Amino acid sequence: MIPLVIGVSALSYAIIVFAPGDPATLLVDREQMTAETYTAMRVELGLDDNGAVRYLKTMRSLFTGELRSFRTKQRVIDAIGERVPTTLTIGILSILFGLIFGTVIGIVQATRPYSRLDDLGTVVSLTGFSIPHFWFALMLIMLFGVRLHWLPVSGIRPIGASDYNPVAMAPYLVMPTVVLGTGLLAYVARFVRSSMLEALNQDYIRTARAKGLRERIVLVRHALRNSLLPVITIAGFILPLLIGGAVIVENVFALPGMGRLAVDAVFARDYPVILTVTIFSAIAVIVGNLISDILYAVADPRIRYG
Amino acid sequence: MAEVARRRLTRTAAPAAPARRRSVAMRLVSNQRVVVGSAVLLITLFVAVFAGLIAPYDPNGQLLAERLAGPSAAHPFGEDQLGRDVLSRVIYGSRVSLGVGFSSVAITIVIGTVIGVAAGYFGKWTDNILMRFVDVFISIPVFMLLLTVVAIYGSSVVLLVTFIGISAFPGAARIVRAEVLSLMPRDFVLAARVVGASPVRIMYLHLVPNLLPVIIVSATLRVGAAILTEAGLSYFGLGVPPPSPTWGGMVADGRTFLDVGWWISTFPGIALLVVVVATNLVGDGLRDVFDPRRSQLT
Amino acid sequence: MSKRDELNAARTLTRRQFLELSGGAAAFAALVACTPSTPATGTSAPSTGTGSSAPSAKVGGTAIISLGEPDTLGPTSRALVGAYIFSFIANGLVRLKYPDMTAVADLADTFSASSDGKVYTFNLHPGVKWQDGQPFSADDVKFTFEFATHPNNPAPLSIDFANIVGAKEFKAKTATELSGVKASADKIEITLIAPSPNFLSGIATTKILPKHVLANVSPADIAKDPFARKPIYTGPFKVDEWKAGESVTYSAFTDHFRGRPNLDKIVQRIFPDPSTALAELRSGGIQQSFVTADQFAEFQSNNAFQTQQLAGTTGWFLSWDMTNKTLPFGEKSFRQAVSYAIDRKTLVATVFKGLADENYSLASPLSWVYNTNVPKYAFDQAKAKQMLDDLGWKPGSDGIRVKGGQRLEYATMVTTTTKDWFLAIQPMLAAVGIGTTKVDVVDFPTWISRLAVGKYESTVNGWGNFAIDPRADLAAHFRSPRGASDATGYKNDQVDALFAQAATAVAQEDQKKIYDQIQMLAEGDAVYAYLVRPKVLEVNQKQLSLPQAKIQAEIYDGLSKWGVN
Repeated sequence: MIPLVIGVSALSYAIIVFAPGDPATLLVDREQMTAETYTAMRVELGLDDNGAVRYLKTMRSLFTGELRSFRTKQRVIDAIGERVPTTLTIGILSILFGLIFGTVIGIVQATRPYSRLDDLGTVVSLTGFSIPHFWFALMLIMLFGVRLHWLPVSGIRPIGASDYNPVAMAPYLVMPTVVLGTGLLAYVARFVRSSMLEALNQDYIRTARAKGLRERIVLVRHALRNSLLPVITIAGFILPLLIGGAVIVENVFALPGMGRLAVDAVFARDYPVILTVTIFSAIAVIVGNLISDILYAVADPRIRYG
Repeated sequence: MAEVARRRLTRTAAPAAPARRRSVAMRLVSNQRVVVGSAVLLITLFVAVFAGLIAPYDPNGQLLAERLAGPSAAHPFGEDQLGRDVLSRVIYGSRVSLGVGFSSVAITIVIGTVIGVAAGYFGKWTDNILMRFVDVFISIPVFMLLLTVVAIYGSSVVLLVTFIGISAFPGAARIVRAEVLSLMPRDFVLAARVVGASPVRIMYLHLVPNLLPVIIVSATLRVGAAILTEAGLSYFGLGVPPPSPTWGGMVADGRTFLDVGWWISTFPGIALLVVVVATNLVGDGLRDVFDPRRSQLT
Repeated sequence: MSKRDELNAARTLTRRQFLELSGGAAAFAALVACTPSTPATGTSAPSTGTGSSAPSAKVGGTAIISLGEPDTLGPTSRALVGAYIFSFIANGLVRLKYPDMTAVADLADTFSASSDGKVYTFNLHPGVKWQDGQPFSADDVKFTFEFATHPNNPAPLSIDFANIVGAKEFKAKTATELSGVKASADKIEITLIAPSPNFLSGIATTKILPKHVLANVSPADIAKDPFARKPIYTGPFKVDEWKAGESVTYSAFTDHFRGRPNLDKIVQRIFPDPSTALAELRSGGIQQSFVTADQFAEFQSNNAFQTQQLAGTTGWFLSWDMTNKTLPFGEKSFRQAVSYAIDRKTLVATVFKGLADENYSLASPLSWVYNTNVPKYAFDQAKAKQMLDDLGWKPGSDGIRVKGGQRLEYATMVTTTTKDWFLAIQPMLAAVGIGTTKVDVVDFPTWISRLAVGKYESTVNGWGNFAIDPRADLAAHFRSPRGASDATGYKNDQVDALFAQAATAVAQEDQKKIYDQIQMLAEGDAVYAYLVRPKVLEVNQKQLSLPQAKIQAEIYDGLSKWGVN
């Protein structure tokens, strides 16, 4: 895992460091900028050390937590810490949404393969997968926020609510979760459908049916269990998609998450923030993959035997 | 049944024998998803190619006096905030959107195949290093980095296609590598090596043709994603620059006019939706046809 | 978006902030003053609903508004949004009165200059308190000036501060205190090295800092100090909490020296996407915001809302790199021709739905500096063609003019805010034979870094007129040398001489005469091809009552007069 993180940091750093344009000029007003100020700013930002030295220095201050945003001078660690709860909440909820509803749709489709219902399910889930997030989000806002007033348009909590109040936050989380989770939903539905279809064709199912077991038990106890296994692995590796997708959703719904932080940083050329968010997200992804690997090994007894 | 089972067990990896090819073709044609999806795509392709003949107006022809005019007989899709005919823009938009989609996927496939084949063929250290590199790439939040790169280096069509294409190669590389690994122990590969064929020859003359089904499925599924990525970049103002209309760009630009001009976003949005759904249908169907047993995760 | 730069500790609002304003990300554009001003004609902006001045509203209540996120709430703020926020949380010795931008009383009840213009005396309002209850004194003012000129302060001395006696020595550590600023009882006396007519407006943006809070904080570290997130000032509203990316809440400072504000609380919600802000305005999630011309009509006809049309703050124009060797950007008649080629009337009527004014000058027609007699190159297509013909550029086969093998076409750099405006102008240019090779859509940092001689060909630029002294507006564009921020390469020795003269003339009438001349020359040179000044369109729910305003900054400046009905 460590080499992976180093690799990620090096790659992101390389992309950024070769960028044309100069953060120092963005931060110091050119009118106020004398030669001394410009040099001082470059030194302060560490822009004049050569590439490798700068990289090491940046990494060191990142891991000691001292790295600061170019723009707000806040410690990047603090800035990220403020945003993590939001991104985690939305992320986990979206995964659950996608997994649960995707599984349900997949099962329904598998029980009536090639029927109208099956096709409908395919079209619905594919549509969710094929729509630009920002458009979907805006449509939902127009309908449920502005026209119907059922849900708040944006934000993560009512004004004046304490920092983390799941109950108060609930209505705010609905639309972002739906937008983010729908892509996963389509994925899972497709997957569960084909897994279930395959499982249902297996001998042990026919045995169960021959034994006279009720269809529902056949479905749940036998077919479903076996087809769910791979779905668990998806949870782990879907994380990168969610973090990437969250950038747009967080922007449209004005959620104070990491995606927002990253976008604001990109448009301010706030390199320390961009770098740190990238690395953190990568770490999250790697951890997520590890977890899903573990879950998979735990859930599938066959794997234990090598 | 037994026939099918035997076929599954003893599937040869030699370039498809005529008998098998025919049956694949038949399976393709009888797969509902492939048929429907391909029909839509072919129509879109037709529209894109013959846009000049089909479109009623110049897509960039402004008529400021008529800005934000709603759908009418003369302009079935209405006019946008500069008085341009939305229908014509949607028609021409197919060109750019499909163009961006297909070209970036081409880049993805090329890079992914080269890396995947190299990793799978050479194995050991090469495989290790290449796959670590791929893992690093997968871990990075791609869209975020894409945004950074486009914001910094610019958003011409060429740069966009390149960046979008590169950003998606890990998935393709992994799929190709997995398939290569499954092909390596096959007789024809061993035979070629015994005969002393050079690695390049083996990789590109023997392996790649057998990778085609996997590559095609992967490519088809990625076209939709590429088009959606361009739409996402357009939301931040970093999509294909004017005047070329893209569906994603039109939806993004039109969002500030949702109240006074819903048609500006809606029609390109529907077009985008339909085409992306179609590519996904075709991709799904192709996957079913080429190997219904494989449950790929990417 | 949009889009946030950093200022020196003196927080002199400079060109950077206006460039940010003009090229800012779309989000900022809709929320902050991105839209230009109206000309100062007799027609006052009609506004539905509110009477003459704000009716005496009840005390109490909360207002939820939309505003961009500041970069910091400490003295190093550079984001333009900061200027709006600081107008209601802090005070300076003087403040600028809108829209004519003259310096009026703030913490200083009265002020005067000596006859030689070198010594300014400020009589401070008695009994002022800080938002934490501590008493304010002249020492705080001296502290603030020393903070700005401190040797540990990484920012260089601004022109205004460098002009204070003893500042350079203090900065160079050869003096232990700032001798030119004398604090005594309720009085502050500032001695300048040379008389400066701009001095008062220069220090208007310096908000006074609390010595008792910041005495032990080094100016180098102020941005990292908790003060930057939760400051203490003297203004009518106090910062309660800043939830990053989400909101900033302010509560009323009941002991404010000019009386408590009407409202109890202000909640500033932060939206990166203006579409979201609009949806919130329509659904009631926010109660006040600014909207675009296309969105305005809906609110005008909606009884639940009140609207105001404010004079545009920003004037937009086309600018060129005059040092370009292959294209005639350096030719006055080329630039005049472009100006003649633009049909501003149609632009205003269609793209801005009539909610804008044709722009013909850099200075805002509302400011005292504005010269109504400046040459205006209004729409005259025939004349444009004639002038280009006279320059030797003849129309080629496809209509684009050619001269000696060189086609008259070039790339124009735009941001998402100005993209559509330029696209609307493009056919007007083509109609007189000027082609466009590329419409370069870039984000704000790229735009700023390329807005320099040698790095671009043409762009749509904007200038916000109400953040600094209007004389400084003119100097920023027309006086040379402009150093690293020079985007045009324009230089006129006569104009420079006039600027030098103006620096010494102290009387307002003399100043006006000189600046009138400057404008005649500079606008006559057609440095820019001016476009429009879009009006700033304010919308608020009926239950909120806002004072009548002429420009956007007044809305925030007058926040203490907002009330809930």
